[in-house]
Amino acid sequence: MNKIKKRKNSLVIYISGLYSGPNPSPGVGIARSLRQAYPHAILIGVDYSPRSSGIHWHDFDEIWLQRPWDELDLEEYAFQIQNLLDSGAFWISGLDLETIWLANTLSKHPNLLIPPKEALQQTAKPEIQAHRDLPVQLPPYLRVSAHPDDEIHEFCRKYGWKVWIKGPYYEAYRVQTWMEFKRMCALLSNTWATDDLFLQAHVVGYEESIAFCAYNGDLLDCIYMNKRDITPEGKTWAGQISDVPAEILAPLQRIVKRLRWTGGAELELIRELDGKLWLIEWNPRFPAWIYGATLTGHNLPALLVERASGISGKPTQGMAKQFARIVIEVPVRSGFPLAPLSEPAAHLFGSSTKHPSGMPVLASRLKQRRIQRRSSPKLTKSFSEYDMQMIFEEIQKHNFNNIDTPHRIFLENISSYLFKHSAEAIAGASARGVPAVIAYSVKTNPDIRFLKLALEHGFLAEVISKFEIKKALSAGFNAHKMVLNGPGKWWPSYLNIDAASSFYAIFCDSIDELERLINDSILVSNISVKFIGIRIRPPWISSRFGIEVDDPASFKKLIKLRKKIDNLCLFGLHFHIPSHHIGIERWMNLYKSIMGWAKAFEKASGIPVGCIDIGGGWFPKDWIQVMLPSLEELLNTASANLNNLNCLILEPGRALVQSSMALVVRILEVRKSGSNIKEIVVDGSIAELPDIHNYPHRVIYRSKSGDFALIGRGECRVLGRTCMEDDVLFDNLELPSITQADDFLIICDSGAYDRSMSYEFGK
Amino acid sequence: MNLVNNYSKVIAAINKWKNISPSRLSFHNKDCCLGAYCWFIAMDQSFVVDGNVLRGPTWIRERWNWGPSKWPLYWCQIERLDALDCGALNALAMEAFSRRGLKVFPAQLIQTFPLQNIQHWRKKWETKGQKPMWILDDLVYHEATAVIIKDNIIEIWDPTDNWWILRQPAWGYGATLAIRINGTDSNHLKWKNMDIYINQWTIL
Repeated sequence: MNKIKKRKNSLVIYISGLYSGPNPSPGVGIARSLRQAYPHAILIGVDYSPRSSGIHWHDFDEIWLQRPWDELDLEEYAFQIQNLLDSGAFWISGLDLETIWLANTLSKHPNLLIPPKEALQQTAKPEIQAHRDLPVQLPPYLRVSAHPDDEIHEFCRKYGWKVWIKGPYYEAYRVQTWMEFKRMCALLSNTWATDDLFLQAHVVGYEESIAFCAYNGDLLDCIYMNKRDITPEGKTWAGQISDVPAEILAPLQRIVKRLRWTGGAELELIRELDGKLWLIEWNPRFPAWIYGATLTGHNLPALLVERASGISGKPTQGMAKQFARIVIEVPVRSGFPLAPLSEPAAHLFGSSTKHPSGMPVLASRLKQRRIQRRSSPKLTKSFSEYDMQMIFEEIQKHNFNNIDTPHRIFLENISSYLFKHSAEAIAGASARGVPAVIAYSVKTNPDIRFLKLALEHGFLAEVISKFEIKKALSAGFNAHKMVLNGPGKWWPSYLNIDAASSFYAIFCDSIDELERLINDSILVSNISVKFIGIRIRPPWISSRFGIEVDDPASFKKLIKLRKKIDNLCLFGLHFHIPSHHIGIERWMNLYKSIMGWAKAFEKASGIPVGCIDIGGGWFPKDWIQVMLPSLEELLNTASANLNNLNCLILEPGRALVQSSMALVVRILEVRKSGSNIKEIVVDGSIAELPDIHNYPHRVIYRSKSGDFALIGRGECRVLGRTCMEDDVLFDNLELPSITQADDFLIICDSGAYDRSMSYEFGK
Repeated sequence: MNLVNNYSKVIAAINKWKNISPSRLSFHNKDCCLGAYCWFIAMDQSFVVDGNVLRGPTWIRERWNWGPSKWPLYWCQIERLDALDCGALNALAMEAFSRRGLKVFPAQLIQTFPLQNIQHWRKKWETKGQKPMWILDDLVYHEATAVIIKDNIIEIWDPTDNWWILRQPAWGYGATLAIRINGTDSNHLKWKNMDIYINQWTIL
């Protein structure tokens, strides 16, 4: 503190957030900007770790290095900062969480250059309530803690798994599968000591920012930054500075005034080519690239200090309109020798510290950890969730007394509803245009009860092997009601199926298969077929199935072969991409592009396409609420593109069966920690539920005495009966406190691949 | 280099290239070109994944390298080629945007690069037995696609670099110095708040 005493009349400014790694804080940029305007000011850097490399930056006169947040006595620390402010020093925070803590701890002080706590609430994620007057939109989001797992999964499907999981303060992770979602949720939740996480849909566009500074609601300056280079972490590495457009500036001024904003801020935006703007974040501090703006003549930190102190700084001359960042080495500050590297832990990988300023520790101190717990699930006899009432009614009818678990329940009313509703929707839509028909995927669930339902409702059977042909025949299907798909449709060769000689459609998985069919004269001599076609693999789809049409040579060859088929049967095209993988919107666009390919085939060969087969992998809710209502539009698109289309085959896949079966398991053991149930062991396992980790399964609890409860999210793990390490069925259930051995869990949504891919293990 | 010199260099370049028409692929009127064209259009439609037709067709440049093309160039030839010049790449991009339902115009540009870069390009063309007519000292002739975003406002897609061209304020590395947008059914367009008159070279 000697220097400070020597320069008693100088401005003294504390600047926190000095980490200068790949995800830097703004402290160094603020110091560089202030030094330019105030060569004689005393700049004191504040951080919470000697590993924050900005402490060695030469513009700082002093470093006020604090102990990590978990060692700090927050009351004492607040007292010290209050004293500094009272003594005339200024404080500019470069750390979001520190800003929140200060705003909530210290009373408003003219030298504390941070926004008031009400303003922080108005700009908090994900709502960012303050944005409403700005010409921007917020990307769609979903608060994780406020929704059950199946609704979260639905949100991810809707946006094609182009979604981010975010916490309230820092960090965002892209998640592309349910397993990733759960892993990243746990990571964020543990790091930031909160369950206040949210999912946000990804927005494609150009990254831009607005940075501003304000004092007591007066907007002092404001600049627009177009990113020109971005690091792999998504951080700005170069940018162009320009004026903020008037249509943003005017409402921003009003918002800043209303919020009585003090300090720096950054609005992170995504711009689409047509100008539409999306607001991603509103950060309550200067951005780390703030010195880039200073280089263009906009010294925002200096303007803030000038207004707060009344002391004019040296005018900042603009040197360019663009800035770039580089990595530089600096000498280590005397008195702050580098700490040794942490001891490499044998059970971990790597030793880098991601958050040297200790923000996760502060987060856990600021927010008492709260799991979004529902109070112990109420025992009830009715459920109001989507289709749960029907499931529950059916389960209630079941006799649990002498049940041999694990036991699958066929939910007759659910399956009847799904098959009937689908058949009616198809009939209604086809009556007004191209005839459409549903093909039931035998592999998804070969249970004879489903096959009978498919037959009753006039569906085709989609089969992938001779075994499945045999199965479908045994259920009463004629071969001419079968669609053959997949790479092994003629397997096994030894199996002769006399009755099967006239199929509805055959879709080849490769050019070789198509050639073999034509050249070996199988079509002419052995079997007849209404449609023969190919499964195509659209260009950007990663799949082992279908013919890659992005190779023009393949396209040409197909055209040649297609001409050969012409006198044998009609030609068809098939694509099968699970909508729950790529998202419904992308699936719909893919459908349009398949029409484009069909048109290309027609135009290039001069021969019409007679059949389109579209799959698949629909979740029941998407099938009922999105696909079937869109059917008429899909058929219109088809007939508008293809004049001679004879038939549209729809493959609902799991949509008809997933929620039509449930698995009943018995609780073998209840493990408690104090009064909390931490784990239970059940007699079911991943052998009966091989698809358990790929999407959420709703769970109903049934006590031995017959009480029911719909289970929500909690902290109890459900362990399978086997001795496999990964046989953990759930890791986050909230069970009723009365749960005991011999009670039951009914695991819903297990009627598709959980059934057909289940295997014998440990029995 | 002073401003007067720069200006006169651009004028000289405009005079050199003023009679060049934007590149177009030729069509054999046979199955060969029809097949190639149908394939190309279906390919582009497959990449409009999110339904946003304004998304630049980056797949074109990902499929073909940049290099000399022999003109006239036919649709049926492109599938066998590894590299296409900026005119051929642009002819494809124009077709893609246009088939997506957007109104497009061919844009001709004059850009500047350092001589040390130009030497490599010159050699690349000469090695393939072609004269680099598109080079004049440190200036180059380039082609891109002007796409109507709304009303008469355009953005310019550069299919060689796979980006939307910026209007840079100064003479510098890769800067666009002059532009001519060709068309028959519009008088003038707006690009980055600047008036661009159809079929006239505009010095930026």
